[in-house]
This record gives sequence, C-alpha cells and structure tokens, in this order.
Amino acid sequence: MSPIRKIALRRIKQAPIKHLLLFAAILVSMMLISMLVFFSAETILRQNLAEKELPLSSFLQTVRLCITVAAGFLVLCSAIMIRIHIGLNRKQNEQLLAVLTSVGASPAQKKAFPFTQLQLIYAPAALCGILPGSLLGVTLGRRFLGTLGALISPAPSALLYLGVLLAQVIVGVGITALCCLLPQITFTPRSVISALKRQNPRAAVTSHSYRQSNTFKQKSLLRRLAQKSVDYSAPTYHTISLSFSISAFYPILMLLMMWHLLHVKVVLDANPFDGIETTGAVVSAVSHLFLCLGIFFLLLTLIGLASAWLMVRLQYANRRAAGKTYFSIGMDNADFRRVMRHELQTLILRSAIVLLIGTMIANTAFLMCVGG
Amino acid sequence: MLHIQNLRKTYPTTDGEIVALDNLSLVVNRGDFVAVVGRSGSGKTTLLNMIGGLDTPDSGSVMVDGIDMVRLPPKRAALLRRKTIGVIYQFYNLIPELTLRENITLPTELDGREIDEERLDHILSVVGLKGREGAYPDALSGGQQQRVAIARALFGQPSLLLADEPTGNLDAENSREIMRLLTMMNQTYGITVLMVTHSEEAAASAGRIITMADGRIIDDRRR
Repeated sequence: MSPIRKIALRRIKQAPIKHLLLFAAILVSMMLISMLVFFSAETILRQNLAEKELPLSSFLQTVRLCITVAAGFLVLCSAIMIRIHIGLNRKQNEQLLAVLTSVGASPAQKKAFPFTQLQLIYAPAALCGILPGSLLGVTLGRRFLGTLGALISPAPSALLYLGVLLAQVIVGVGITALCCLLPQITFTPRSVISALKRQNPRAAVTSHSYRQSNTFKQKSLLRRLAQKSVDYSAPTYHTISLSFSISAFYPILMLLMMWHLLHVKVVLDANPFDGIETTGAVVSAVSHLFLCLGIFFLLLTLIGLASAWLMVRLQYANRRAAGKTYFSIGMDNADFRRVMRHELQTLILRSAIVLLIGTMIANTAFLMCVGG
Repeated sequence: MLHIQNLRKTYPTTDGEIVALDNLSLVVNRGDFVAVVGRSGSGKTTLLNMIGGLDTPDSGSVMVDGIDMVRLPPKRAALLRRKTIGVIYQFYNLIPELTLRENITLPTELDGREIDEERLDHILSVVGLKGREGAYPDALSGGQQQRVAIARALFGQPSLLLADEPTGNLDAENSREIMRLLTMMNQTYGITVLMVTHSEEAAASAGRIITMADGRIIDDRRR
C-alpha cells in the first residue's frame, strides 16, 4: 500500500466518529437530493400531456419548483459542510504536504492525498446515497401522481431513467470532488515553509491584528478578552457557527417548503372538475413526500448538531488549556467562566445572524419560484 | 557541491520591503561540514529554504551538483530533493500517522524503490532505535524523534544534508547525541552538511563557520 493511502486510512482510524459523521452527512444529503431530483423527473416523465393546460398541471409545476429550490439549497449546504470538514483538517493537511514536499514528493504524489480521501470517504458516501435516493424519489413521484388522480402516462424507457441516474452520479460526485479537492490543492510555497515551522499563517495574522476603536475600549475587560479570543480562533469559531446554522437551517428549509406548497390551494380549488376540492387533498398528496423529507431533514440536523458539538468540545478543551495562562496571572475561575460565556454568546449571535440571513434568502427564493 | 551566486530575496511588508538575502554568494565543497550562525532574522533559514528548493529567490542562482534549483520545474526539483538532499528541522517534521520505520523509508517509497532491509537495520542501529520500528512518533521523546528524522535523511543516501536548528528543541545531552550523529554522517558517509544553528556548542562541531547578518555573510572561518 502506498504511504499516502496508509496515512489517509490511519487518519480515518484515529478519528472514526468525525469521519463517520461526515460519511453519514454526505450520504443522507445525496440521498435527499437524489430523491428530490427523481421525484421531479418522475412527475415530468409520467404526467399525461392531455392534462397540460389544467390547474393540476400548474400545481405539479409549483411542487417541482419548490423541490428544485430545496434541492439547490441542499447542494449548497452539502458543499459548505464538506468545506467545513476540509477546513478543520487544514493545518494538519498543510503540515503533511509540507513534510511530503521536504522529503521530495512530486506534485502528483502530493495531490494524491486529497484524491485518496475522495476515494475513501467522499465518493463512496455520495454513490451510496444516490441509488436508494433515486428509487425512493420514483416511488414517491408515482404515489404523488396517484393521490392527485392525475392521468399517468406509460412508463418511459428504462434508458431514460438510467440517463437521469448517470447525470445525477456525475453531478453528485463531481460537486463532492470539487468541494473536497479544490481547497486542498491550492497550497502555496509560503504555506509549506510556514507549516514546516509549525506556524499557522492565518492565526498569526489574526493574533497580530488589534482593535483600537472606542467601542471596543469601552467594553469590560472580560468582554474584551472574550472578543480577543474569538478573533484569535476566528476560523474555528466561524466553522462552529456555520455548522450550527446549517444544522438549524434544514428544518427551516422544510418548513418554508411546506408553507409555500400548502399555499397553492387556490389554484386547485379554482377548477372543481379536477376532483380535488380542498387543502386536505393537497396535504394528502404531499404527505408522503413531507414524511420522507421530515425524516431526512431530521437526520441531517442531528448529524450537523453532532459535528458541531464535537467541534465545540474540542474548542472548549483548547480554551480550558489556555485558561492556565489566565490563572497564572491571578484571574479566578469565575471570571474565566464569564469570558467563556461571552465567547459562547458571540458564537450563538453569529449562528443566529447566519441562520436569519439564510432563511431570508431561502424564503425569497421560494417566493420568486412559487409566486408569493 | 553547492554554488550560490548573488542570491537575493525580499519580503514585502506593510512597512516596506525586508531584505532577507542581499546578493549572497557562497561555495560549499563536497564533504564540508558548514555551520551557519547569526541573529534571528539574519536570513539563515531563508538561505536553507532556497537551497532545498522550498522557496524561490528574486534573483541569483543555487547550483546543487551542477543543477540550478531555482530554474528547475517542480517535478524535477522534487526528484532532486528526494535523491540528493536530506533535510532535518528543529521540530522533526515526522508524519504522525506513520510508524518510525515508515517515516524513515518514506522518501524511498515515494521514489518507488525497494526497501533495503539490511541498510534500514544498519541505520536503525546507528541512530540507536533498533527494536522500536513499529512505534509512532508521538510515543517517542524529542531526541528520539530527531534521530528518526536523521535516519530518514540518511536512508535516502543524500549527498547534501540541510539541518535547520537540529538541536534547537533538545536538552544538552540529546543535542550532543544529535551532533555526534551529524558529524558521523559527514565523516563516515562523506555527506556534505549545512547546518543553521544558534548554539555555539553545535557550531563548534563544524569545520567551517559562516556568520550572517542582514542577509549577508559577514564572517567565514575554517577551523
């Protein structure tokens, strides 16, 4: 086995929970995206063209648009999640690549490391999620059309499904590969030297920046210390707050989608000959879809929260270790706890702001596509 | 072995330009043991990085065995590093996921060559780590980790060894042991050694001591 592969495998063994969570997150995300894509494909391929001008068609179109918006946000969230994971190991990876450079690894051999990670975790997780997701999407699509009482066309050629599946695999694995590889193959010679000296250039920059605004000076000492700490560990705090925001964003995305779908009843009620009378019919039509979405979004939220919790624990341990410096200059434990509380407040505030902005963007996207 | 001509390197900062190397020229003969001393920021490590091909100068040339490291494409520079140059750092720079044995044989494996078990055994005995081949770096002391780094450099049979503060992180006893190994590499295997150090005791092991200040050589003594 090549040394690069050995290193990648041992890293997985050393931190199994972290890698398992990442695998699960990519798997569930891909399954969900694949389910949504195939649900839309099934409703397009099986819908009878004779119904094209009826309000039912307009409802189907709205559902598909909602699903497209949700899938788009899911792709974005998955990309950010992979990027977060790569970011967590950035320092470790930089040091590895720097050592490999110093012992004479060729550029191709250095690039082999992220490719091996892609082979071992990212690509298998994406592939494992796509097939079951697509089957579930097709089943839900058929059930949805059946509940609505739509005229169903005969099943199209299996080749067509295979084509959609292939496109899904290419796009899914392609996006995963891009998110995984891009941040890792852009190391500069400066980062190699810095990593060899065990200096984190980003931390060095933030540690040397200092605030001198009056607002900052007027804050209490403990708040200023907390602010300094947040500045110093900026990449870690950004990552944690982003991770929390994304975890909380999944149920919000689900709720927004439900909200917008349940508000299209007017279109259906407009034509009594469709045989669909009330909102209840719409709810029953989309209930299975929502049940599946609910399970998936819940899983993604739990996985995201677990990852964020792991990061918080790691940062807490780092801060406890750093606390020795404060204690050595006479700060008591209660004050140190207050500093930590201020840091936590900043973290929560940042997560809430990111979540709020994300929700507003998602809501606007739904309004634009579905029509408010 | 090593011909450096008019090497210049500057780093831009917010306060202007810092000259790390100021038209530095240097010749090191095969089999020399050279210690480079000087204050922090005098350009010692920058010089070592240039020779190792880890950094590129603004102008000048670095010829290692007649090959200009500066103008070498990355792939060939990597090959030269693997076959001709061994590097030892202050912080050992071992790969934590690889065992002691795997760390030592890494450059050879990257080269796709067979591992010479006899030679590996011999080198492990030389550095006093025989029987610990399966240990991971975090189970070793600082002195032992530095000996692994030396073994890694030695196993690749380099003709030039670059050492950046090899004793900077070690106690007196371990420092002496590392210096003994470096002297042995130079005298027994004929490896040219270029060592950057702050330690006068370490520099005393070298046959030639170069003093640097402000990116220039201000003193060059042979002992």
